[in-house]
Amino acid sequence: MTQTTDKKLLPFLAALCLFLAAVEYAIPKPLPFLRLGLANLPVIVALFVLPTRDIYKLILLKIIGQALVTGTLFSYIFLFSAAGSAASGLTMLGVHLWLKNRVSCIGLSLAGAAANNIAQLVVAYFVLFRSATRYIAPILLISGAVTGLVLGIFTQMFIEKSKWFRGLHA
Amino acid sequence: MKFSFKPADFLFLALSVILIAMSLIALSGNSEGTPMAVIRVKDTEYIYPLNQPRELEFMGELEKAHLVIHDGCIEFVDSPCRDKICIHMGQARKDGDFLACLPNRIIVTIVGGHSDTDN
Repeated sequence: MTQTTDKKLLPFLAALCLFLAAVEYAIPKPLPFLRLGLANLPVIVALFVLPTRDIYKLILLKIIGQALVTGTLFSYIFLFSAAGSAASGLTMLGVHLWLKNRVSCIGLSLAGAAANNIAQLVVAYFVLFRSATRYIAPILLISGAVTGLVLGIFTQMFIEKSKWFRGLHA
Repeated sequence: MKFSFKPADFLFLALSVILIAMSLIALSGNSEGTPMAVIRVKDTEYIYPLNQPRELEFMGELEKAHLVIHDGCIEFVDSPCRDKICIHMGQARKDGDFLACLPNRIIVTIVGGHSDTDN
């Protein structure tokens, strides 16, 4: 891949994070922590097409973008989303570098969802709920695994079908 | 509509399931057993199990308060406060129960044990 495509691709994927965060924000949630994680889609795609250092940048841009779109920058909710995004992004990156072609988007997404939820539970323990954290843990982990699985399957289908994605690889 | 699982995907699927199972075990494991009294005196916390009889004295904001743990419950028996609301609150024995003596800054909460309220 040439240098020029890299330069366009990072802002494009970051913008996609922003857009998907806005879409997600428009979908009502039964609880503030139950989220679809749509904005993780560009991060998963990025693992296959961006160099590692650009993935760090994308994770950072996603955290800031999400906070701007949802209006949570400078609030304690930002701690949750920042910790979750950083943990899931870095975990997916680690898993991708470790297992390479032996893992698909589905495994990546599940690992990311689990890391995201563990990070959020840790923050919840220290910031909000203390020992009551264990009451929300199962809900968060179950919903996270389900949405992570669905998003993973969707992303896998996307990269197998997308001509745009195939173009990037060519 | 086709997509392919790869071998390592099942590893993470299994990992997610294990994680969920662990969280459920933590939930049930902790809600059984003996209830504990968490006693907050000014800015310090003390924890005692409710299954062992015990006499407790705490130096609160005003003076010494006297609490007793007996028959699986805890209660204030003597307090230096004016209205004695803490004593009138009676016994606390199950998860979520609490006693408070605000003038003396002593708050007792019960955690753990089977809760009667379904949540």
